[in-house]
Amino acid sequence: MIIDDNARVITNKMIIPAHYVMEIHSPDIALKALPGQFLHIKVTNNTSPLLRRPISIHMRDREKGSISILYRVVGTGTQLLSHYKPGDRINIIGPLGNCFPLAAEFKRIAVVGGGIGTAPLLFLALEAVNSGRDVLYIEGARCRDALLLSEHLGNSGCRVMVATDDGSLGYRGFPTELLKSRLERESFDAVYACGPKPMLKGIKKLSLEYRTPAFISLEERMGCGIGACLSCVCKVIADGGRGAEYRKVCTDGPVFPAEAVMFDE
Amino acid sequence: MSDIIFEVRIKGPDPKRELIMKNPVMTASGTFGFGREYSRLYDLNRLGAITVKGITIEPRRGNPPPRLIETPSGILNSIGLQNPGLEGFIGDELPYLRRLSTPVIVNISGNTIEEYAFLASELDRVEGVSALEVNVSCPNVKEGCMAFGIKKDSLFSVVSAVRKSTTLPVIVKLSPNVRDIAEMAETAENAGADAVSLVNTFLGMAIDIDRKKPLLANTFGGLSGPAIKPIALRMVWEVYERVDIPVIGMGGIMNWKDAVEFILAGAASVAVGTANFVNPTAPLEIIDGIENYMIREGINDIRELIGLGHRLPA
Ligand SMILES: Cc1cc2nc3c(=O)[nH]c(=O)nc-3n(C[C@H](O)[C@H](O)[C@H](O)COP(=O)(O)OP(=O)(O)OC[C@H]3O[C@@H](n4cnc5c(N)ncnc54)[C@H](O)[C@@H]3O)c2cc1C
Ligand SMILES: Cc1cc2nc3c(=O)[nH]c(=O)nc-3n(C[C@H](O)[C@H](O)[C@H](O)COP(=O)(O)O)c2cc1C
Ligand code: FES
Repeated sequence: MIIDDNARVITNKMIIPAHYVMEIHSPDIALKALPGQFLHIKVTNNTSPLLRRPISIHMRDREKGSISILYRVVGTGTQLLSHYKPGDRINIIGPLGNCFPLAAEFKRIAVVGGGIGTAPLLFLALEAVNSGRDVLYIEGARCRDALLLSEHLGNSGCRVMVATDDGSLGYRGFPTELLKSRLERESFDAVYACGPKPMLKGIKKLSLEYRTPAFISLEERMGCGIGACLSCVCKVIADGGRGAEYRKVCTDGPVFPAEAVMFDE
Repeated sequence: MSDIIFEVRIKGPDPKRELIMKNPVMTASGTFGFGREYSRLYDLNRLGAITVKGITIEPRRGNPPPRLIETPSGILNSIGLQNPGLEGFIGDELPYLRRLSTPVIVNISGNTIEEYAFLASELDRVEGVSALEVNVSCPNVKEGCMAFGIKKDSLFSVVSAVRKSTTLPVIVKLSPNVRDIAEMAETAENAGADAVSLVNTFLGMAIDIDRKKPLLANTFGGLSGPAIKPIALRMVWEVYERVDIPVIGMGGIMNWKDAVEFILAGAASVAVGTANFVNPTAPLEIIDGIENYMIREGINDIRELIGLGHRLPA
């Protein structure tokens, strides 16, 4: 079942300018959530903006019965989200979507997050470490001050590497370039990524080049979030490579095998 | 809980194949998938009827994304009738729907009159289909569809052809993108429609001022949601005055108060569309809300409420 919860906000804090972490008390969703899944959040009781906003589950705490989201304020909806205070009620539906497949044979994995795309990957990395996997976590950001996760990753048990566009910390350049240099040196059983489209395109290329399965989380505009309206589609390869078809990001995804996704319309 | 008569019937040519809804609230085509999606949230048996996503004879891939844009108190969609086709629907979706006690209305679209007639005759024989909704008003496909719904003579031909091909109740879904919707409703009635539903989405668009290009990949889309409610309501009011067959009202119904407005304007039944996306349990809240309103107003039978807005002195 999908849970429709009028949940209580525990905290809602700005971590760096325009980026917030909100912790929400929702024991049933906390119990069921898997890395890669998302919530569909009603940000207002008014009709503008009308639609809910999809936001990934960033972390969960089963004991406390809570889940967290990490979001960036880009427009009206996320702006409204940032105004919630501890104790407020917020309507969330979830957990929605499929999840990052952590197959038993994937022992050594690389996780690549670009910008706000790193939000759903902490949950994944922590689950992977807890189940005894070797995890390389690459976080990419514009600059040192835009890094979102370094604080948590420090004692997460992951090997952490950072790429900044301006070189203010770690590798200077894109996280995909950093991943490529690692793929030259070590082998991974699987790569997981979320971030801007050009980055995901790069991940697909590396996945094919190094014959390493990669799973990427996509974004598309959503209406219902549960597979009914067909508005959130992305193009994937069909008919054994000869054709293409549209698949729903909300229920067939948001996670897709990189090789299946067609980026160019 | 109460003695309220909530049942709504739509009679077809065959008295044994009447569409019987236990309450006047159904879901609007294209906003409720094939039901299964929402069954993960609540018991679908509580609904008056389920109208499924529009189907065509062959599967359709639909339009490229982006297919959805939010506008003030509304949304523009250009899905382009993505659907699994007649066989896919019967094989993969209907078996689940058949297990429900809620009647299923199948929304059909074609590129030619023959295609509409073919769909109607095929679905006529299929168990688990309670009525057909003839979509002559989809604004998102290039050929056919809306073209049939905006001209009187082609509307008459399509509806007559469907009428001859089935003994199921035939509901004709009207396009609001016309000059005189009451005239179109009358045409559908004369061609043998058992009910009309209105409105489908209004043709609209949105432009990205940074990229200086339309936001929808398909340029135009259909506007739905609260933004269209006053126009939809006016159309239901006009059509109710012109035809004797039941009117199914929709367009921006978000809560029970909106639904009561449509019933007072003449809707025998209401459909919930965009509201499902915002509040998935909206149809259930609307059912309860109408019932409570009737209790409060001392009205025992929903039929007393239908079109009441026309009958009371101003
Ligand atoms: C499955 C999924 C998971 C997501 N997880 C997160 C997350 O963990 N953290 C987070 O901050 N954001 C996440 N997003 C993106 C988030 O949903 C959008 O940023 C949000 O809906 C924007 O709403 P708004 O009202 O603030 O902006 P709007 O006013 O709607 O738009 C402002 C700007 O943001 C862009 N935008 C809006 N929606 C999207 C979208 N879905 N994808 C890409 N760009 C968009 C618009 O083009 C516009 O330029 C996720 C999206 C999806 C589909
Ligand atoms: C995403 C979406 C898909 C739709 N698909 C169909 C369809 O396949 N067939 C149809 O007759 N109407 C379709 N409609 C129109 C709705 O059934 C309804 O008439 C319209 O949305 C107005 O009601 P609302 O404002 O309550 O949504 C669709 C609407 C939306 C928003
Ligand atoms: S958002 Fe409705 S199908 Fe994905």
